[in-house]
Parts: sequence; structure tokens; C-alpha cells
Amino acid sequence: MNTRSGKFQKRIAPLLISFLMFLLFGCVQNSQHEPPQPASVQAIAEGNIENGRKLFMGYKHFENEGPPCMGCHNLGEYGILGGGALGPDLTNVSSERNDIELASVLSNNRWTKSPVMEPIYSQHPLTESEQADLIAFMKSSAGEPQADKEWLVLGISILATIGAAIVIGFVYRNRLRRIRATMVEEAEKELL
Amino acid sequence: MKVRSQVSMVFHLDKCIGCHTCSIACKNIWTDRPGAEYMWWNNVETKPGVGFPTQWEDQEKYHGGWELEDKPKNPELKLKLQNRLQTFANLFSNPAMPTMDDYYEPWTYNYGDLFNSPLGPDQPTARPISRIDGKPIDIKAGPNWDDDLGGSNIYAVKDPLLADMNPEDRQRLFSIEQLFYFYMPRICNHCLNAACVGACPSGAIYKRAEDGVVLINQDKCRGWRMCVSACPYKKTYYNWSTGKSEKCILCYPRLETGQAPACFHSCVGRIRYLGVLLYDADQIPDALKVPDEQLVQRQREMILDPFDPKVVAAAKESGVPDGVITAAQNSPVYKYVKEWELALPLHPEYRTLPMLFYVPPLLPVLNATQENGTQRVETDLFTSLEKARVPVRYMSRTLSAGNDELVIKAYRKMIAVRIYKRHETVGDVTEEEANAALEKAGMGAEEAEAIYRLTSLPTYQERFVIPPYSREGDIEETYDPQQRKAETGFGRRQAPQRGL
Repeated sequence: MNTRSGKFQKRIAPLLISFLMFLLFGCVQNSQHEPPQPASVQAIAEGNIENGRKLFMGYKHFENEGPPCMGCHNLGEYGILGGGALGPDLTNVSSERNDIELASVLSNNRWTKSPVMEPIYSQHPLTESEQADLIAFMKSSAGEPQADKEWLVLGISILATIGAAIVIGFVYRNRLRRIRATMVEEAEKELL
Repeated sequence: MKVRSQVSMVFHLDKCIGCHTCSIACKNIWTDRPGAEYMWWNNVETKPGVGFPTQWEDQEKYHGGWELEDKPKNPELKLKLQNRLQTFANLFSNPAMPTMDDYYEPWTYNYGDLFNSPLGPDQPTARPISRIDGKPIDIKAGPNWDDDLGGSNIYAVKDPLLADMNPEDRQRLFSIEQLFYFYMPRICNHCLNAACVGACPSGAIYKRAEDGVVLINQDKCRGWRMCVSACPYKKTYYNWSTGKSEKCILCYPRLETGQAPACFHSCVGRIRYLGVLLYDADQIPDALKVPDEQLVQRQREMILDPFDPKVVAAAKESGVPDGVITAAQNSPVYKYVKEWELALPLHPEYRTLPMLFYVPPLLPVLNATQENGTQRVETDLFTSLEKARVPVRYMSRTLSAGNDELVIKAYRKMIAVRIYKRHETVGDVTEEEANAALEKAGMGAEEAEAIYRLTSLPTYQERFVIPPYSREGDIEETYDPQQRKAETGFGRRQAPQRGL
């Protein structure tokens, strides 16, 4: 036992510690960026709608590895199950907010900030061109019909739960239950 | 020949009065702890009855014990519960677990109410409260709920052993002046081929080399509870407080200090005998692969004659200490099981090779003739066996896997001993009758006398021949053996890491 723990201390512990260090500080180092700049008006005008769609839906990674927008937001009819329901629906966001406000939210700079998004994206800021692409995408999709797919998600969840219950019920169909109670009930019935 | 020693037991059911003193002694010493309230490492059942837990003998329900594969050539022994793959698949949800209701919900009474209730027109009562959640409960069952045939039209009729009797016979068993019952004290059988050991996924259960006591290592147990479902006698229990399984430890701390286990020591009927048996471990695999009717005979063949010089030499070679060999020669269990063939194992058909043997109870014989109001022993004694209240069939289903002959043989000997002693002491039986009885039982007067002496007049030292353990000698240098004798017991050097 002593030799084993000695081996652990000598060989495995340094490896483990360096791995933990990597996890802790590697990530932090990765996110030490300069304060983000909001996209300029000119850049927004030049934004790439198709690239914005890919970034929004997560087909393409953000440069600083921020989570894709669709995790929390729905937009139009994109996505089989729609977007997340945590954040507001962004289908017509461009008619409610102007470009500068949108850029301000996306960059966590200036006065319009989202209290939810700020802590997430301050560690993983969006680049200027990414912001521009996203704003362009959101503007382009204004007026599209809003698809409410929450019922679909709920329906699938319920069906999956019932299915799992049936499978588990079948697998464990022979388990013991109520031997004494069943026996007593049977005997009392026979007596009557 | 690989000789091993086993501390084995004989319970003489003819002497059991069903007082439950053994159960209480055990409970007070070992299972009066949180999480262990429902456990009865020793319990006494009324037979016919459903026992504890309910209908434990119905292995179609509980899946305990071993069974022989249904193959003509080289059938292997396998657990009735599950194979290895199924063990893995069922690891987190063991399907053959008895529920708390199948044992019983342990309870106490709210005694404080008797003293603290406000003054009122009625007497205060102590309501039963659950010892699990402390709330008032409606008591539905207990560990000996059908004691003395209580509620027999619900419980005793559902005895799994009566299942293959025809309805008229079964009806007869419960009609007045025909009914019978007897008591069956049960503890862990400390089997040679224990199913609990075979089923444990953690390898936490082991059989001690020096005396064959089967124990659960509380540090290794992970609470999978496969032992609970695999044991056909349902004598391992799960402690919900510590998250570990527990079972009868045959009071090994007492054995190691030369004392009989608590249930043996406290038995007022003196029905319990304890002694060493030497057996040949090489024969175990073959002894388990014979048809049901031969199981008892093969088990008896495995048990070796401790007086045979060859056996003694082989035992010494296998490392059995001299003191244990001497103890085996004085063992009362050897006499009952092998020499006299009076004691039989409980449900050998579970194929665990149980090492606790029972002498079947000889209950009142039904008399066809009565003279002047006194009962007369019949001249032809063996018609009376057929008229015995306990059907031989019932006993053979219990003690010899359905082999009637073994039970009849034991009964004939017991009847012969009675007649022989009656001839000696009362004198209303003639010598010819007594000798005829002995002859039919196939034994001599000497043997009858020996059976009588060990059954009726045994001393403490004759009933409990505890082998010498070397533990006290081993610790003598560093620890006072007398102090150890006083202090030793169940407990933990370290508290369990998980659990409540």
C-alpha cells in the first residue's frame, strides 16, 4: 500500500496537477483579450448574411469560442426544433433595436448591455466582423414567421419518457413486488 | 483429499418449545441498531407457515440458491438469480429484492404518551409508530406473525411446501385433532457452497478458513444486495443506515473466546448443538451435481470420520490444528449427522450444502386404540409412523429434498429410542417389543442409550464443543486475553464512509 501511494505521489500527482493547471489557467489565458470593439456602421453594412446564419446556428465557431446564439434564442423557422427559449425571440429584433444597440449588446460595450449575455461573452468576446455578420443576418430575417416549436419539444420529451418507462417496465417485469400483501389478499378472497 | 474444518450445528426440533429466547438474545446483542431493526439473524418460525420473509421457501418468487443446468452431459451449477451479464445489467436495480412489506415494517410504541397526555376521561394509549419514519402505523405484519398457527387460514395454508399436496390432505392438516405444527428456528447455515458468496459482485463475502463461518466484509461491501436475493434462506439483510449488508456471524467473537454463540447459549430447550465437522473439500463439486434425492447422502459422504487415522493424517497435512481434530472427535454434530443419521440439512435442494442440521420433530402419534382412557403404544410401531401427525412427506420436503426414506429412517430410530427407554423406566413395554423396535430401526441398545443421553441429558460441554482458536495465544504478547474476552464484539474501527 505504501509503495503504491509513493508511486502515486511521484509519478501520477505531477501529471494530474499539470492537467488541472491547464484546465484552470489554460482557459483563462485563452480568454484574456483586449476589450471588444463594437462593429462600426460601415462594417455592419458589409456584413455577410450567410456567415451570420452559420454563426447564429452554431455551424461555425466563433473565433473566441463563445456559445452560439441559438442555444438561447429562437429566430424565424431556423432549426428543426427551433432555438432555445431562454432568451427573447430574435425574429423581429431589428425593428425594435437599431444597429448601434445591437452592436452594443453583442460587444458588451457602451450603454445597452444584456445582464445575461455580458458575463458569458465578456470571457469570449465576438470579433467586429462576427458582430457585423450577425446583425446583418438578424436584419435580413426580419418579418419572417415566428415558429413556436416548444410544443414539439415537449411532445417528444413526453413520448420519450413513456417509451423509456415501457422499456424499463418490460425489462424488470419479473421483479418482486408485494408478496405478502398479494398472498393475504388472495387468501382473504378465498375465505369469503 | 483436502480436509477442511467447519463449525457446524444441530437443532433438535423435537425439543424446541418456540419461546423465541434465541431470537431475543441475538437481537439484543447484534441487531438493535438503526438500519437493523427489521433484521432477525435468528428467527423462529411456525411450520406449516410462511416464515420470514413471507414465503421465503418459494424460490420461483425469490430466485435464491443454485440450480443444476438442464443438460444431460456435464450439467453446471448456476445461480438461480442471474448470470454474470445479468448481474451487471441489474446492478442498480436488483429485481429479486424482497420489499420491506415482505419482511415487516419495524415498529415501537409511543410510550411517552402514557405519561405526557393531558388529563381526560379516557386512559391514554401508546400508539404503534414506525421505526423507519417515526409516524404512527397500522401494523400489518411481524417477523412471526403466524406464530403458533395464528391466522392459519391465511398464512399456514399458503406454506409453499404444501403446494404439491392434494387438497384433501391439505384440508386434513387444518382440521381439529388432526392439525400439527412445530417450530423451526433458523440462523445462517454457513453453507459450504454459499449462494451469497457466489452472487456478490464486490467479492465482499468470504468463508473463514479456520472455522467456515461466512462473513460479509463491511469495508468491502458496496451494498449491491445481490447476496440478499441470492441467499435461498434469506439470511442476509441490507442495513439501510450504513448502506451495507449484514448477516449472522455465528457470534465469532464469542467462539474465539470459547463461548457458545448467544442463541445457542440462551436456548432454554437446549435444542442446539455445536461442534466441528471435518469434510473433504475436493468432493464439493461432485456432491452438488447429483439428483435431488441423493443430495443428503452425498453430503454425509463428504463429512469425514475424525477417528479414521487416514483422515487424521490428511487433516494434519491440510493444516488442521490438532486441537480442532480433537474437537471434531468429540463433536455432537458428527454423532447426530453422520453416526446416527438423525439430523438432516434444511432444504438441501437449494444446493448450497448448508451446515446446520435439523433433527425432525416427533409429534404425537395418532392412536387407533385407547384402553381405559390411556394411550397405548402399539405393538406394530411402524404403522404408527404412517399415522403420525406430521406427514413424512412434509418433513422430507423440508429436510431431505423429497427423499422420504431418510426421514423415515430417522423417525424409526427416534421411536425405537422412546420405546426402549419406556421399557427400561416405565416397564409397560415388554423387552421383546423394545428389541423388535431397535431391530427394525437397525440399531443396538448401546446406540439407543447414547442417543438418549445426548438428547436428554447433555451437559454444556457436551452440547458445545468449541474448537480451540489460536487467536488468544497470538495476541497474548501485546494484549490481555481476559480483557479481549470482555471487550470483543461487533463494531467498527472506522465509521462507514457512505450511508445515513
